Amino acid sequence: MSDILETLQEIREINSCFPYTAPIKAWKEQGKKVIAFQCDYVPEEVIYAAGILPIRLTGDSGELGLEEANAYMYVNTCSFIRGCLELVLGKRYDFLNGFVSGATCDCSRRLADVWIHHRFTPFVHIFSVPRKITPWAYELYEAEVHDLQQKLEDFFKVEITNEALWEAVEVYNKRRELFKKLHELRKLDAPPISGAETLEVLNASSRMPPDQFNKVMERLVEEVSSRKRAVDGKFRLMINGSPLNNPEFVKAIEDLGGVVVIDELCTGIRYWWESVDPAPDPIKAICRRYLHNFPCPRMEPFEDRAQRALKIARDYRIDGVVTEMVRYCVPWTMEQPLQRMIFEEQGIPVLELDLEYGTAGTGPIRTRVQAFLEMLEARAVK
Amino acid sequence: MKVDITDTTKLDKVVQVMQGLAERRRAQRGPKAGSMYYDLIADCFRRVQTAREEGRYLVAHTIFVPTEFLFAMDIVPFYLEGMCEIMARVHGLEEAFSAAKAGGFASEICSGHRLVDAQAIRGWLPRPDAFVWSNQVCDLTTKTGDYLVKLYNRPGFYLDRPYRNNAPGVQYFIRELEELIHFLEDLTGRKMDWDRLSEVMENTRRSTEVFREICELRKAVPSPMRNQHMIEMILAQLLLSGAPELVTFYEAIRDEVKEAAEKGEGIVPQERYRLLTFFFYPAYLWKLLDAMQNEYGAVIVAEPHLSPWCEGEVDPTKPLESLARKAFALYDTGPLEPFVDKVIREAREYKAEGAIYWAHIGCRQTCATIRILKDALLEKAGIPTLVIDCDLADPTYSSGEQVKDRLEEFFELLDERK
Repeated sequence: MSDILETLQEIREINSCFPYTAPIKAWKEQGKKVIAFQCDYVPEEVIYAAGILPIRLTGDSGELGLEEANAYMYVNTCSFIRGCLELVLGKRYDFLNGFVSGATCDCSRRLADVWIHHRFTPFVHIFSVPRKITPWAYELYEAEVHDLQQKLEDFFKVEITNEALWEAVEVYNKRRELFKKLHELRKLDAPPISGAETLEVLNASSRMPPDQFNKVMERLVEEVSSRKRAVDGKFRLMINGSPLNNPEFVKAIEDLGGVVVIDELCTGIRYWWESVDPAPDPIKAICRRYLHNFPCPRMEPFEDRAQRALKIARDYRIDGVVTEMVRYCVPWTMEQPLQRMIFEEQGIPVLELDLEYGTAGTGPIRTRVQAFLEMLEARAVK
Repeated sequence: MKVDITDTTKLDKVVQVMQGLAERRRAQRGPKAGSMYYDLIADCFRRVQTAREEGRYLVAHTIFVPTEFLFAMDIVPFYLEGMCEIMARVHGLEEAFSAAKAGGFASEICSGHRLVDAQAIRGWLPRPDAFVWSNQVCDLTTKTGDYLVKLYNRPGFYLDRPYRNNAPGVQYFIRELEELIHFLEDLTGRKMDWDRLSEVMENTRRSTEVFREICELRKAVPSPMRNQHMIEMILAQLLLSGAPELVTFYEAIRDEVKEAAEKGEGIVPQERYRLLTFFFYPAYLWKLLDAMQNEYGAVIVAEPHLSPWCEGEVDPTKPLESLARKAFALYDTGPLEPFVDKVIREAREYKAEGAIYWAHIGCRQTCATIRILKDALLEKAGIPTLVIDCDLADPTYSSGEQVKDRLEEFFELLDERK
């Protein structure tokens, strides 16, 4: 890689104080509230329109002991969820005023149960998220989002107006547009930003007020577009799988000669893929976006996800897929045989890595990635 | 991807084994419910085996899909997790688990589901006409259908139960049930006979009522019911909800338990420990349930995970609403707090002295609740909980001997507390 991005330094500075980042601290110092959300199916706009900052609940971006979390949730709970809980129990999320979760998978809904039982924050809310996209699924999701709105209004004594919702939509849509622009650049033969750097940006996006992030992101897109920067890497890779926040994992892959040009992750493109379209009713418009967004493997039918995943594989001209499956992540592990099959049917090899959340990509993982890249090399020679 | 049906003689073998077990129980001249159970299982397999030659549709389904619809439409149900587990035990677990691994199913996936996929891959299952799957217990049941639909190239329907039991959730689920009926109508080319469905629902109402009666009778001290009966009742429920045979089976158990309760007789001469147990017993340890009862005087008085479905009110004239109530009575897919209350209530009502949590390594959603339930039982009901690491179907995870040792230690603890 030719040089270091200045805006990225700023982003690293923000991430360095995770989870209580400087922008969150500044927000709190104004007397404002912060709510952590769990999962991409929680509509951030509704929380933001209440004047509350939504931030994504994650574990640390690195490997973490899970001793305390193991005492509260059994060891067969996925390590992403236990990683989040470890930080909560370690008082690292003490600045939160609330927690909102979609009941999206077994481990995340059980974290909500633990959260409610131990009252980690004054406000907790968990709601149904349908797994299908049907007219009645939209009705259910809309009713649940209305209920979330009501709960926020009642608890925090605020009014969430349509105007505030549209303003929130504008801010979040802007963020999505900027991510689209950045990802268009990743389609280039020599992308100007690496996969590891992109993950750092994605991490920061949900750890600060969205309007502030947009300003940083505008500068980043401008900087990346205007400088002749090229990330080295012989093979274009997609990363998919369970939640991923550790850029070191991606960097380890890229250091070995791959360049990660796209992901299919809830902490990646699924977070920003679709925008909210204009409509007379903001809640309806928001609900349509969240339910219709790039689906998590929890959703049915599989075919819809498969077609979308294959489309991005074509658009980004990938040579191989690296699937990182956090141990005990049910939706991914159960879907993986099918996932693997649809890529291999298109002649795209898949490397499956069974790992713990936060793994940096050293040791046996490094060896397996190396072997995968050698296999891609051998295919290229043929 | 497609599956070649290589060997459906596996079904013949299962029928033979089940019939043999029924005969053995008859020969022992024990209560008739004992042999009835194996007769029921054998009949279920026989129906699956002969569905095609009898010109009947065969629908494979996951746990708690309402079999009432299938019976009302004369469709043969094939309960995947339960029947595949029995089949694998008859034919060799090792081979089945190897097939699952070779098919890319990670070992941390619940073994119940791996055994379904494994036997599908090996071509040991008959080819069903369709698949119906649902999320009423966990994420795995949500994902099982995708793979099978693709493997068998058969139509499928996913039945979605929302997390929260509120008005929009119930309305949504009823709409899902309507869609399931439309799916089955399209599959068979026949319309649902709603009068017939009401008759089937009357069976569900009666079996639910008898089940509740049995639960009430179990409150008696000493306990009048065999440890193994409940797991047999649950498996029968999952196979035959809506069928008249289920009512007859439950009535036989009820009569047996009632007779003992009225005489003030316990199932063991000296009852020493009254236990709650959580979740399914490992399939390979069912015999241990008898040993607990007969060797240690440890009687199981309630299984909070296995009974919530019976809390829904059944009105045969309103089948969809009734089935929605039954589905929402399950706690597995919903919030935990109401379940904690139920557990405490049952610990007190059934005079439990200890609890055993079967911590299946493949089951995230139940294991994640262990700490909360264990703490609540100790703090609010004053009873300790033994957590046993095990697997639903894989005996290599923890042997019977290891489990027995843990149980003995726990019984000593209970003795000390007396």
